[in-house]
Amino acid sequence: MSAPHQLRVGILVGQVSHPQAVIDDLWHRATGAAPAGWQVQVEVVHVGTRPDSAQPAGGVQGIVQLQPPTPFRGSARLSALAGGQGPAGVVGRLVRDNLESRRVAVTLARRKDLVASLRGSAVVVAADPSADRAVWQLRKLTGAHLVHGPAAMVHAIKVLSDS
Amino acid sequence: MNRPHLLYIAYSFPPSTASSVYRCTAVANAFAADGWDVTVLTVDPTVWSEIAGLDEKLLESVDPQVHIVPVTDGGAEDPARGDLRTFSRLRVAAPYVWKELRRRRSRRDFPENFHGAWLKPAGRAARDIHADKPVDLVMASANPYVSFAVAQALDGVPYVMDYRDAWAFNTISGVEDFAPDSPTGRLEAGYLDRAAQIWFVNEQIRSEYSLRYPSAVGKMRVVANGFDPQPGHGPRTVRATQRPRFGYLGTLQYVNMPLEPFLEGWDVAFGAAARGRADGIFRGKLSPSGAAPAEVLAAFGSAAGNGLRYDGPISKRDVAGFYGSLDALILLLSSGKFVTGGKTAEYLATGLPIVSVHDLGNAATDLLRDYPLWFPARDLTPEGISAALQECANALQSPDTARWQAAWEYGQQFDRAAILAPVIAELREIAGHSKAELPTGTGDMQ
Repeated sequence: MSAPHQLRVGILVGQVSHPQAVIDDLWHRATGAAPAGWQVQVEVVHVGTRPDSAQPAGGVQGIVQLQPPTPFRGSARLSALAGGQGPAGVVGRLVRDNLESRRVAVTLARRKDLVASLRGSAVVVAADPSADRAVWQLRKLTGAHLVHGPAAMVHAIKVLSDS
Repeated sequence: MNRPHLLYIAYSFPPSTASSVYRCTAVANAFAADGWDVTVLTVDPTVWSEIAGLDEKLLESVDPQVHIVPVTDGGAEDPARGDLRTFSRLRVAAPYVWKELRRRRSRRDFPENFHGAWLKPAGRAARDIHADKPVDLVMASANPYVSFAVAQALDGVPYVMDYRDAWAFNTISGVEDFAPDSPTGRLEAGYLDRAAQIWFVNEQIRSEYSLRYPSAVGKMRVVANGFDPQPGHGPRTVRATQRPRFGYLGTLQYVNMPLEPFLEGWDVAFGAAARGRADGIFRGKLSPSGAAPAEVLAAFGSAAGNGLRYDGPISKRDVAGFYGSLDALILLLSSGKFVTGGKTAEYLATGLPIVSVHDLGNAATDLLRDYPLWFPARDLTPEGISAALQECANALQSPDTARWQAAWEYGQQFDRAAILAPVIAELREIAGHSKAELPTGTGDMQ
């Protein structure tokens, strides 16, 4: 009898309104996509404030909570600008989203242990757009599948199981 | 002509789970069953696996005689792809700018955002197929509407345009996207004038198109959506229940569907403060892409105490088993007089009670009005929805067998094979004739 396959999936969650629901969904999909007999280990890093008291799903190894740097002083004004119409709104959203994704990336980069752990995963998933930059920045540090969202994650697991 | 050759241009086809694939599968199968050689030109399934997931079992529902030719999407789906390794610095730093540049580039060959990029690879593949084995008839399914442009790739071969939606206007809001005398309107008019036949899914869309493009009215047909019997389809024994199991199956278009009022209505009818209890099971995709929005996931999470839950997607091949486990169905639809909803006919064919949670001005109401087990919400308030749910639950406490039998019989008229047979017979007369031999405009093709 051969040893069961181990599949490590790293999930990076940035600024989302319901992080626990998003984490549970990704966990369910990851375990559902893995072939029978595979052991799926899921590690979650959440850069942001956890607004609810929900518990991680059964297979989630644990959620590492990281506090991002405090937003700069003009962030409220920037949010207002980003909600506007026309070119000013586009520029506002561009700046806001860039700052947000940089905050997530910088926060993660400061934790070398977590970066090393994610590098050891077979699939690293950015759960939301603010996490894309941090996962994208791993591209030269690991050969793992680096993906955004559940569909791409499931596809990556399928590729791994077919190979 | 014994075995005419049909080239079927269907952007999505099994194992894709896009909402269009059921109609496309049924059409391809119906032509094959009628003795045609069918070649389907479609997007490579790897693309669907990357962006939305696959339903591998759905391939079993495709007639094995149907020949499938997958081609690249030409980058049309790049904005939906989530492989971060392929992302450029520009896309990471300025996704809106990257997307806008891609949008503009995709419209160079055809005026449709992103999907215009499919014209070149699909057109090339269509010509290759024709060179390999001459095509007698082209059928183009939209959307995306670039399929209609691909149909023009074969000079002299008659083609059919299958509108599952409307190109010129939004079927939900009714708002016009372009006028008949605009550049895109003139392009569409040219396609319609040269088409051998034009299909619509309901009379409302056909009627609107006949007003916009009167010269093509004679060629317009309503080919309604039907149901495709899946393994296990059949009548079931009616049972009385004090705790009914309601079910929803389909893609949840949460932006347009009245999901929030439904959740509130459910809470009024069966929540902790209510006397009645019930289970509500949602299956299917939580959005067209399959990605579940955090708000929707959270909404189902908080509704779990009220008996509502989301059990994930299900293969189309397994839907009969799911329907067989239910006592009643919940029909959530977007609003709009042009909206029929692909699942309406499938719901009717189950013979189960249907609680309608949609604007009763929808085209779907035309199909449901005479259904013996229809429980429409009188309006989309939580109270209106709750009343419909409760009325249905009451009927399930002591079901009238004759009423259930009548519902089953009513639903079987929507078998898609029966709907398609007469129009395909008509198309046999067209296949193999050059466009020049076919009259344009009036649509008198016989």
